Amino acid sequence: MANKLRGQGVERVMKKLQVNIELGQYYEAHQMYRTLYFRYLSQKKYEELMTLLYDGSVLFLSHNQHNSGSDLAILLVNVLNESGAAVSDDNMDKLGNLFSMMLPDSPERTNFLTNALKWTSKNIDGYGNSFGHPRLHQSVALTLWKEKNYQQSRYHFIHSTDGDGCATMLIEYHITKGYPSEVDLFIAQTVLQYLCLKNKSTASTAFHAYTEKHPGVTSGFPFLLPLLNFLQFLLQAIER
Amino acid sequence: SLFLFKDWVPIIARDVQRQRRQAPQAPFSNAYLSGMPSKRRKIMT
Repeated sequence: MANKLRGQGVERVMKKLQVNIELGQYYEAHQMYRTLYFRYLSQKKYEELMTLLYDGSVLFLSHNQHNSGSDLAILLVNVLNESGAAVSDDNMDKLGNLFSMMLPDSPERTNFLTNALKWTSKNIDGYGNSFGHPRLHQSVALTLWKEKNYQQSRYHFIHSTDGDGCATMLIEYHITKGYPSEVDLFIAQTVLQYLCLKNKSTASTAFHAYTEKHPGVTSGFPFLLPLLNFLQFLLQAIER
Repeated sequence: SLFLFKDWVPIIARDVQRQRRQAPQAPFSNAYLSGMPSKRRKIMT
């Protein structure tokens, strides 16, 4: 079996597994993925294994086999960790895509995200934080925004560098769930949190996008609301 | 230097007046409070 499989190559195996899945033989397919996982891992065939797990996970998730799909997604993060794979845009986009396909409230999704973010904070360049890479945070924030999970979306936007996306989400959040009197508080909270994370350029982008686009902020600078002027001055003072 | 901030003076003077007349803070929405760090949130509610 081992020799036979070794000669076949990933593509052929994938095809066979895909047929299994199309036929609804999910259990068999899942077990076979796990067998291949242990075999490829011990052989250190990381590239092939990552392709296999990513495609397999997408395949299961798109067939509503959420447990199997999430299991393979978590195995994929294990391989990323074990292989010391580079934290590349491509890898992070794949993780972001798997996250978007998982069920919103499943414990597997939380577990997957925690491990994935932990992996991206390894050997991170220029960010120097332990919260995870801003690009993965952004991707997750956008997914959660689509799901109207504003609270979690905001958390991930704060750890991203997408000030414009954050502001647009916050406007929608404020209008649908906040009180009109909190129009200035929503952006003040966010700007101050970005600043606490030493991310002044994203703080500034978010502030300007929010005050320009929010229908409840009727004038530009100087604003009618003192808190908005305070934020404008604060951001300017930090720049100087 | 402070001179750089001189355009700010009339705006701050006006905002000082406005804040004297400002209504007391109404209770916060859950949406706003959910952005607080959990420890801070406990103090607020």
